[in-house]
Amino acid sequence: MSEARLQIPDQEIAQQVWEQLMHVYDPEIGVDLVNLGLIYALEVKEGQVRVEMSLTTPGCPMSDTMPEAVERAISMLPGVRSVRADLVWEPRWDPEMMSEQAKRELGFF
Amino acid sequence: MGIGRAAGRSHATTALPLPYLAAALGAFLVAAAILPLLARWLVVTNDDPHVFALAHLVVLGWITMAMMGALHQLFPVALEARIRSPRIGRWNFWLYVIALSGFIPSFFFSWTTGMATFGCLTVLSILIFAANLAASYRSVRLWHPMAFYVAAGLAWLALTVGLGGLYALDWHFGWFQITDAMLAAHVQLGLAGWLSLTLMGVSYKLEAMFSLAHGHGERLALVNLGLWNSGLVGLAASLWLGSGGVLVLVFAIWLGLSAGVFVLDMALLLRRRRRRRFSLSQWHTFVSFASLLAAAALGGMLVGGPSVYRSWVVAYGYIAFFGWFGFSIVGKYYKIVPFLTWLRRFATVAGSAPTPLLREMVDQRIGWASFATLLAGYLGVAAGLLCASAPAVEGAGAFFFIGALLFASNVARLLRPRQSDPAPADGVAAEGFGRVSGPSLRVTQRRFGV
Repeated sequence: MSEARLQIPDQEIAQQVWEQLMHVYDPEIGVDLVNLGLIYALEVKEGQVRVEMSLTTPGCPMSDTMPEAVERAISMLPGVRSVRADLVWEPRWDPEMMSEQAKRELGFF
Repeated sequence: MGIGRAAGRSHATTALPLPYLAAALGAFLVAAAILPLLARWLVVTNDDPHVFALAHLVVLGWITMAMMGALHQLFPVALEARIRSPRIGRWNFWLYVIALSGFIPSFFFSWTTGMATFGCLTVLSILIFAANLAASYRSVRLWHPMAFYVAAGLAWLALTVGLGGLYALDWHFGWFQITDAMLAAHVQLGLAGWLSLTLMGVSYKLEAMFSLAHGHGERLALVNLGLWNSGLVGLAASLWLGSGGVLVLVFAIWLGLSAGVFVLDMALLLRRRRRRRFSLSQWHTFVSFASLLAAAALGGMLVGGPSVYRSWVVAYGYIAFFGWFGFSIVGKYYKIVPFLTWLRRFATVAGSAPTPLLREMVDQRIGWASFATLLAGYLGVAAGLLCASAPAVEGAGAFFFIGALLFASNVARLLRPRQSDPAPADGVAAEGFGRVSGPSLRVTQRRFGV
C-alpha cells in the first residue's frame, strides 16, 4: 500500500465507496445495491472500511456472493487498507427502502 | 481483505444441482418427442405399458430429476441450511440415472425382470435422496413454509416409491392383483403428495423473491398445508381401501378446494409485488397455476362423473404433469440455470469485473417463442386427449416438441463454456465493473444518480 493512498482522507474514501457501490448490481433485480437500499451503514477509519449490508430476503441465493462482491469492489479503491462487509438482517429490508429512481425502474409507480 | 471465500462455495453450489437439471432437460426432450408417437395409445387407454413408460419418464426422469436438482440448490440457500452429504447427492445422481435407464425401457417393453430389478434400484436411489434431504433438516435455520411443504413432500415421496417398488415386484412375482384404485392411490400420492407439495412450497419462496413481494402472511400457506395433507390422506385411504365413489369424490373435492386456496394465496402474494412487470419465468408459472385448477376440476369430474373416456384419465395426467409441474419447471429453469451459471462464471469476479444480469443471460426472444409454442402445443394436446383425437395429439405434440427444442437450446447456450468470461480487474478502480449487457460483455453504465 503506497504512502499516497494512506493519506486520502476518510471522508473522500467514503464518498468513493458510495459511488463504487452504485456499480455493484443485484444480478437478479438489475438495480445497484445503493439504490436498492441494501447498504445500511458505512464506516471508514484510517482507510479501514466496514460496510453493513443486507439482502432483499433472508435465504437469498446471493447471500454468499454479494458481500464478497462489495469487498472486492471497495478493495480496488485507492486509500483503502482493509475492507469488511457484514451481512445483517435487522432491520429487515423492505421495498420502501429503495430510492425513487429504483422504484421507478421496477415499475412501482 | 476477506475476499475469495466464494470460489469454493460457488463451485459446491453449482456442481451438485447442474447434472440433475441437465439430465432432466434431456428427459423432457425425449418425453416431448415420444408423446406424439404414442398418440394412438394415449387416446385409447391409460392402462398400457407404453403409457406407463412415458408417465414414468415424465415423472421420474424429468420432473423428479429437476426437483432433485432444484432442491439441492434451493434447500441450502432458501432455508439457510446445509445439504447433509453433497457427496451422496453427487453419486446418487449416477445411481438414479442408471436405475431409470433400465427401469423405463423395461416398462416400455414389459420386461418384468427388468422392472423389478431396476425398479428396486430406482426406489433405493430416491430413498437415498429423501434421506439425505431429511437429514439436512437438522441444519435448517430459516423455517419458511417451504421447509414444511418439502418435508411433507418427502414423506409422501417415500410412500409413493415404496408402493411403486411393491407394484414392480408384484408385476414380476404375481403376489396379488393390482387394481385400478391401487394404481390411482400410487399416482395420487406422487402427484398430490411429493410433486405438488414440493412445487407449492418452492413457489411460496421463489415467487415472493422474484417479484419482491414483501409482507405476505404465512398463515394461509400453513393452514392449507394441513388441508391438503388431510385431503390426500383421505383420498389415498379411500382409494386403497376401496371405500367407494362417494368418499373418493369428497376427498377429490377437498383437494380441489385446497388447490384453489393455494392459487388464491399466490394471487394475494403477487398483489403485493413491487416488480410490476411479469417475467418470462412468471408467465410459465401462471400457465402452471391455471393447469393446477384445470387438473383439479377434471379430477373431480373423473371421480364424480357417471362414465368417462379413458383418454380423459390420460388428459388429467397430461394437464397435471405437463401443465402444472412442467410449465413451472420450464419457467424456473429461466431463473435457476442462469443463477447457477452466473455463480459458476462470475461469482469470483463480481465487484471487480463486468458481469451480466440474469435476465440478460437468457435469450428473451427465443424464450418467448418457446413459451408460445409450448403453450399452443400443450393446449392442443390436452384438447386432443379430451376429444380422443390421435391426429390432434400427434400434430399438437409435434408443435410442443418444437417448443421444447427451443427451450432446450436456450438453456444449453447458458451451460456452454465461454471464451469471453471476465477476469477480475487488477487493483484499480475500473470503470463499469458493475454489469454488462448481452453476450458480448459490452459495458452499459447505468447510474441512478442518488
